[in-house]
Amino acid sequence: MPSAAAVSAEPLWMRTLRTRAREQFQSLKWPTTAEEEWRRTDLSRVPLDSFAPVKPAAPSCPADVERGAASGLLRFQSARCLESALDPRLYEAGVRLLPLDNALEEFEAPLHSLYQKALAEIDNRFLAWHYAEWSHGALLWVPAGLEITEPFLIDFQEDGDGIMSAPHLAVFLGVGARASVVQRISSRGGAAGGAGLLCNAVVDVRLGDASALQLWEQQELAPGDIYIRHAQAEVGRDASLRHFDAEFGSRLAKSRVDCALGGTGAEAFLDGAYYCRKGQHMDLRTVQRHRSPKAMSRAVYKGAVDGGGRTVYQGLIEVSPGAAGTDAWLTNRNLVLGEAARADSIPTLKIGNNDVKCSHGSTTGKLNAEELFYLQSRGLSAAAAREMLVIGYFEDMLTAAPEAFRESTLDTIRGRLRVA
Amino acid sequence: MTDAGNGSRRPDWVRVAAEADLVSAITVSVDGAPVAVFRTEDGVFALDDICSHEYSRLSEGDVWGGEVYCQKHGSRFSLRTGAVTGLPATQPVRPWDVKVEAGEIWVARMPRNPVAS
Amino acid sequence: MSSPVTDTSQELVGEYQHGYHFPDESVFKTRKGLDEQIVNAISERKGEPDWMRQFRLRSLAAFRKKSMPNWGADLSDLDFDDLYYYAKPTDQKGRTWEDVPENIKKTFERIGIPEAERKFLAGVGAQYDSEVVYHSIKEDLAKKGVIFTDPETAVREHPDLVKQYFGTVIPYLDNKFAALNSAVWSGGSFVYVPKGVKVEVPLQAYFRINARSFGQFERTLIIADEGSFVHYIEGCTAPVYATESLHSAVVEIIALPGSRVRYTTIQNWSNDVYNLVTKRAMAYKDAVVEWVDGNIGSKRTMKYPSIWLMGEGAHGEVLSIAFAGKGQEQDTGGKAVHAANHTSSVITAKSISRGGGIASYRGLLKVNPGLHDVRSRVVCDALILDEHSASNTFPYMEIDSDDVSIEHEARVSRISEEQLFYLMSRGMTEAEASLMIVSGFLDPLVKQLPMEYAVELNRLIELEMEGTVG
Repeated sequence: MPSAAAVSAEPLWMRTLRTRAREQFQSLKWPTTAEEEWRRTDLSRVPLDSFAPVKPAAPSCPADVERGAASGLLRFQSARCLESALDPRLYEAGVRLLPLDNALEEFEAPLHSLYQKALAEIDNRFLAWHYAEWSHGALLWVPAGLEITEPFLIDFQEDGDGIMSAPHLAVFLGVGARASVVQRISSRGGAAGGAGLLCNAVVDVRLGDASALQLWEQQELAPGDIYIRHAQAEVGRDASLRHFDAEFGSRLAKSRVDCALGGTGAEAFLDGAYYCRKGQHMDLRTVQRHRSPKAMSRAVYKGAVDGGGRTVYQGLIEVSPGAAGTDAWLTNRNLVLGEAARADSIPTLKIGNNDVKCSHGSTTGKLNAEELFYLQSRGLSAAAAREMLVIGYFEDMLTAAPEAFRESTLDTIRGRLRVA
Repeated sequence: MTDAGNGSRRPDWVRVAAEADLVSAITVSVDGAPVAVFRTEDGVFALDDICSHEYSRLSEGDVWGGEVYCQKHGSRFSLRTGAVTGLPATQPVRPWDVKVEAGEIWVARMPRNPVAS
Repeated sequence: MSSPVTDTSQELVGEYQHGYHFPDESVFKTRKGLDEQIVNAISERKGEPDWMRQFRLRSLAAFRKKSMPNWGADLSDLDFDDLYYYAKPTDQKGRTWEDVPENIKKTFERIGIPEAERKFLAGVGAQYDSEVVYHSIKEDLAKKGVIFTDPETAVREHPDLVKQYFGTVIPYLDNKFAALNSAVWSGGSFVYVPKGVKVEVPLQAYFRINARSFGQFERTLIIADEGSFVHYIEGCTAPVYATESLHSAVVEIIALPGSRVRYTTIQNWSNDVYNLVTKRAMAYKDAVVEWVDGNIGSKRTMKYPSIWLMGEGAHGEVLSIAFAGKGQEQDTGGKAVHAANHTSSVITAKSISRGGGIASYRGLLKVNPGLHDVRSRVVCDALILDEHSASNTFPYMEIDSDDVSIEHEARVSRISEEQLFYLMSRGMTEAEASLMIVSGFLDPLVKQLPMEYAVELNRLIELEMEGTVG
C-alpha cells in the first residue's frame, strides 16, 4: 500500500483510479497456462501473492535544471527519485520531464484520460496491480513542433526482496514534435535464496499527428528477479515510432509491446534484441494493430539462447476490416547457442482486409558453420569468431541508436558470450 | 546419504505423504519437483508428474496394464521406466524410486535416468 | 428405458452391388443422441469382438469428459444431442433428382462428373455401376498381398494387425472428436501393403461406393510395410450431399522403414457440414509421408494433417489448399513433430478467401531436445479476394534443439492491380484475368494431384470464381 503521507498528497482523481484498479485486481486471478498468451510461461511455482507493493517515497526530487549532454535525466533508486535534470532551454520551450507524482496536478487531463483508458482495457491481473499500486514513474511532455535531438535518459534502479515495484513511463509528443528517450531498468539483486523483486512496469506512449519518437529500452534486472512489462503505444496520423527493446536480465521476463496505428500514414518499427542465458525464461510479445488505412509497421525481434535457456516470441499483426493499404511484416530470428536451449516462435496474422501487404517470417538455427570456419581460418580463436558473428547478428539493429546505448548493449552481449 | 555440498549429509529419501493418502494416484513435491505416485496391483510407482507432451498432470491420468494414460491427449508411459509407449508424446518422463515404510511414502531425492522406448 | 432400435425402415441410399456385404443394415436405425446403449448396439450390429466394443465404450467416456477446443473455427452451433450417430431414418418422401438444388446439378455438369455418378453423389439413391472397373483392380491387389477393405472386415479378418496398430497413432484421448470417432466409427478403409510392394494405381475409397464412403465417422488405417509405396485418395471435388451435418473422421498412417505413403483428400462437403478431422502419420526410418489436403466445401473445417517423424532420415510433407467462401471457415494447416535425427519437413499451405469467408492456417513445428540435423520449411500464402473476407495465420514453432535449420514464411495479399492490368491489357476480361491469377496461385499444389482430380479442381475453381467478379 502506498504510504499514507504519499497517498493523501495525491489528487482525488488518482486515488479514485487506484481504488477502481484495486477492485479489478481483487476480481481477477493470476494468469494460468490455460490462457493462450501465458501458455508457455508457468507462474504456478512463483509465490505471486507474497510480493508486497513497494511504498513510494514522498516526492523528494529537486527539479534540478541544468545543461548536460542529455536533454534531460531522471534517475530513481528503490522508487525514490534521486536525480533530475532538464536542459533549461527546453524547459523554457515547454518541455517537462518530471517524476510522475509531481506531474499529477499540471498534467491531470492527459494522465487522467490515459489511466481511464488503461483501466478499461485491463486484461490481466498484473496490469490491474500496476495501476492500483504504481509506485514511481516519469512523465515526458514535448509540446507541438519541438524537435529535440539529444535523448532524454530515464534510469530506474530497482531493489528489494519480496517486493513488487511498479514503475511507469508516460511519454506525450505533441503535433509535429520529435524526441528520443533512453530508458534503463536494472537491479542489483537481493540475497541468494530470497524471493527477489517483481518489477511490474508499464510504458505508455502517445504520439500526436506527424510526431516522431525513438524509444530505446534496456532491461537488466538481477538474475533472481522477475520482470512483467506492458508497453502501449498509440501512433497518430503520419506519426512515427521507433522502439527498441533489449532484454537481458531477470529469471523470468514477460513483456508485451502493443502498438496501435491509429491514423493514416502512421508507421511503427518495433525492434527487439534478447539474450537468454541458462536458467532464464523470456516470453516476449509484440502486437501491431492496424486500425486505420495506409499505415506501415515492422517488427524485428532477434534473440540468442544459451544452452539451458528458454525463450518464447509471440508476434501478432492484426488488421481491422477498415485498414486498407496496410503494409506490415514481422520477423523473428532465433540463434541457438547451446544444447538444451529452447526457442519457441509464434508469429501470427489476423487479417480482415484484403488490400494489404502482410507477411511474417521466422528462422531458428545455430551459427553458420561455414562462417565460423572462415573466421577461424583467418586466425581468430573459436571464441572470438563466435563473438564476432553474434555481435554482427545484433549490431545492425543498433545503427540508429544513441552511441552510449549501442555500446552498452553490445558490451552486455559480449560479456555474456565470454562467460558462456 | 548424499553430500549436500557443504559438508552436511542429506538423506537420499524424502518423505512425501502418508500411505493412507494414496488410493490410486497422488501428486507430491520432491524438493520442488512435481512427482506422481501410483498404486497398482503390481506395486507402487513414481514418475515425473508433468506429461512430456503438453502441460498436464499424469497423476490425473488412467492407469492400465502397467502404463499411465495422460488425460489430456492420451500419451502413454510405462509406470516402471517412464518410457513412452504411446503417442502423441515422443519423450519419456523420469522414473523415481519410491518405497512405502511404516505407513509413510518415501521418494528418492533424485530421479533415475529416463529410458527411450 | 428406451431402445436404440425403433422401427424398421429402408436403407437411405439405394441398393448395392452384389459383392458388397453388410450385416443386416436395412432394419437398423438409431435414435438421436449418444450413450452406451447406442455404442453397444453399433458394436453388436457389426459383430465385433469384445475388445473392440470395450475400446468404443472407453472412448465414449473420454468423449464426455473432454471439452471442446477453445481455439479454431466457430463451433458454437454444433449440438451433439441433435445428431444421429449411426444411420438416419429415411424421410417420409425420400429424395429424388428433382429435389436436388439447381446449383449442385450445374456444378456436376461443369466439372464433368459422369452422368452415372451424379445421382449417387446427390444422395438420390441411384445405382452406381463401377463393379467392372473395380473388380479387376481388386484381383490385382489381392495377388500382391495388398489388403484393401473396410475396417469392419479388417477387425474380423485381420485382428492381429488391427490390434497392433488401431488407435496407436491417434489415441482415443487425443481430442474430443477423435474420442467421438473412436466410439462410433463406421466405415472407412483399412489398407495393408506388404514389404517391398509398390501399388501403382492410387487406391480410392470412391470406388467402394456406398454410404460409408461418405460416412460421418470414417475410420481409416493405412499400414505401409518396409519399402512399400501406396497412394490413397479420398473424397472428390464434386459437391457431396451429406446426410448428416457432423463429419468427424480419423485417419492413422504407419509408414514403416523405407516406405512411402501419399494421402490425397479433396473435400467439397455441402455448406452445412462440420468437418472435424484428426489425421496423423508416423514415419519411421527413411520413410516418407505426404499429405495433400484440399478443403473446398463444408461450413466449418478443422483439420491439421500431421507427421510424427520417429526414425532417422524420415521426411514429411503437407500440401494444403483451402477455399473459404461465403459463410465458411476453413481452419486448416499441418503439424510436423521431429523426434529423430536427420529428419526434414515441408509444409506448404495456400488459401483463398472470398465472399466473407475466413481461411486460417494453424500449424505446429516441434523439434525434440538434443536432436541433430533437423530441417524444416513452412510457407503459407493467403489470397483475400475482397474486402469482406479474412485470413489468419497461427504457426507454432517449438524448437528445443540447437542443430536445426527452421524457416517459416507467411504472406497475405490480394490479386495485384498490376498483374490484373497487365493481363487485361492483353485482351482478357477482368473475370478471366482474376481466374488466371488464382489458378496460377494454386497451380503448384494442383500439380500434385492425380490428373483427373486436377482437371476437376481447376473447373471447380473456375466455377467458384464466377461468383466473384462481375
